[in-house]
Amino acid sequence: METPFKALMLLVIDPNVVISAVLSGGLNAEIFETNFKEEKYDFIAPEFFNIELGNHTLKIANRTRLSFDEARRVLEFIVRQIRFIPLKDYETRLDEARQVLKSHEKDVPYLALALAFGCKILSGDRVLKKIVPDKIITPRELLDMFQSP
Amino acid sequence: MTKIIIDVPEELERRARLLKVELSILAAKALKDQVRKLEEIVEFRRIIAKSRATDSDVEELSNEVKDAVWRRHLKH
Repeated sequence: METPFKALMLLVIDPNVVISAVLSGGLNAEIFETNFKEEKYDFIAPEFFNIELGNHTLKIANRTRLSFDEARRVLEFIVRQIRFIPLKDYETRLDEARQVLKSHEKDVPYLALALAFGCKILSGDRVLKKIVPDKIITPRELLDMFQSP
Repeated sequence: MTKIIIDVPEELERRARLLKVELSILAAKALKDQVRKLEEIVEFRRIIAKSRATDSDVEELSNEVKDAVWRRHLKH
């Protein structure tokens, strides 16, 4: 029997996917458009990422040459699809992630979050894909998964 | 007002009857929600199509945001 609740697949969102979606559209934007319609994935990210997106809205507007209001609206479209997770929910995995990533430490929060929630990271970062290939889904791979039944 | 005819699987009709909900009202609401969603997507596309950012802007800003997020983790 069909269950009334859909089990959504969890995925940690790498900031490069969000920034790329807003700044250059393409595959990354398509992911948020498709998920908005189909609600297939439960995107999560560190709470601090939400704060920094807010802090960088003006810079995003300047780089894209969109108005501040337009930049805010496209960010809002994406941010509404992401659940922001407080540090306390993944801090126990930070050391482990740091050991794995070594000098690539700016990605530690996303790997720690993926370890804590037992899921993968949606990222277009080639270096990260090389270090932890089993933990990464690229935007192209995710779009292909959307199309599969 | 346009009238439409849709095929509803028996199982879904049975479940709706159990919940005492009117299928026509549900269908109208679902249509309204989908149109609203599609309008939001069109608006999102319209705005990002105007972006003049380059690939190096994407890389620079992504790194900047990631660094800022990491610095906040180090403070805690």
